[in-house]
Amino acid sequence: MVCVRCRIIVEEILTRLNVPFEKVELGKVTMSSGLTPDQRHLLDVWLAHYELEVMDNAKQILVERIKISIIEVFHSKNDDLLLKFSEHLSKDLSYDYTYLANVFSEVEGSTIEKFYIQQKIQRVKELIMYEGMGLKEIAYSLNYSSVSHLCKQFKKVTGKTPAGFRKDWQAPMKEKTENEIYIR
Amino acid sequence: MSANRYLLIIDDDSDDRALFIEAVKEIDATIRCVSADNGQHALELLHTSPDRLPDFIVLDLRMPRYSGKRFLFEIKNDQRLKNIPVIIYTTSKSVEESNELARLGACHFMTKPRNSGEIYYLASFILGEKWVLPESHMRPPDISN
Repeated sequence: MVCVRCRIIVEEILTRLNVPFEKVELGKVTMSSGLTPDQRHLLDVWLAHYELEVMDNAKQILVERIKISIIEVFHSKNDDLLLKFSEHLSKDLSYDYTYLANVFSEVEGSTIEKFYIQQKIQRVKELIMYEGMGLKEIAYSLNYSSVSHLCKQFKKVTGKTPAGFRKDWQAPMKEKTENEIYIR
Repeated sequence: MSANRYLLIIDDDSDDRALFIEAVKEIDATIRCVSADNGQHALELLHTSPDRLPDFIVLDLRMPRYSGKRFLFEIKNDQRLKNIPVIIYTTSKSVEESNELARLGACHFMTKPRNSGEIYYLASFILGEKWVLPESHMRPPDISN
């Protein structure tokens, strides 16, 4: 559960099942009380329908926390991005960075740096689509060493250049009629 | 700016060096990549090239004759070389070792991936970040323990 949409889905499922909860955050639900076996079964079934699941494994939970911490840093408006990536994770999760990197690789079969880059590019896409920001501004706000590096990384991860992506995103908007809405 | 960047990779494994340089070149073909197969060779290169120092050093740890750790200690005690960001690239997964290397002034610690396709992302991560050395690493490290 590492996106806002997933959080909304989980809230709806819990409400539908009449399961009392205090709050739903990215990756974490604080329940008002424990789940009965029946509630847990139904919750598992409903979550599976949306390709989500309750995690019982401690390492999986830690990996989820790593992912959330990385995603949040790209959405923060403070100086977190100025802090070194490894220092931010260590500080946020109270573990040595190398331990976190080892657990991440073991559970995901991929490196933490790759996930970091994929999420950074996801944020670049959002800034292009929803904020209409230019590449210079995006490179600066996400602490890229250069615009050129941002473009190369974008192309590798998405298969498109940022300019191509922006064009594809804007094209349907120009052609849409009054009766159409577009959802991505 | 990136057209002038210069990376030194120090690794005794020629395949690992070649794969890393290949990934770097895919990201930016203009980056000057220089390699050394042990710490001593790398120090000689740095001492005999007065014109330009590397923008980053990617350093393996387990090397014959002159280890990565010894190399790191040497350059962090050298006024001219101590501010070059050093990124550790190793087969080690030891948390204790990574902490010790961070205390010695390494910027980042990466374990070599099993899948060679991942090397691109590690190289892209290194080249994409603005490596600023923490204040504490601007001083010669204390290795009295």
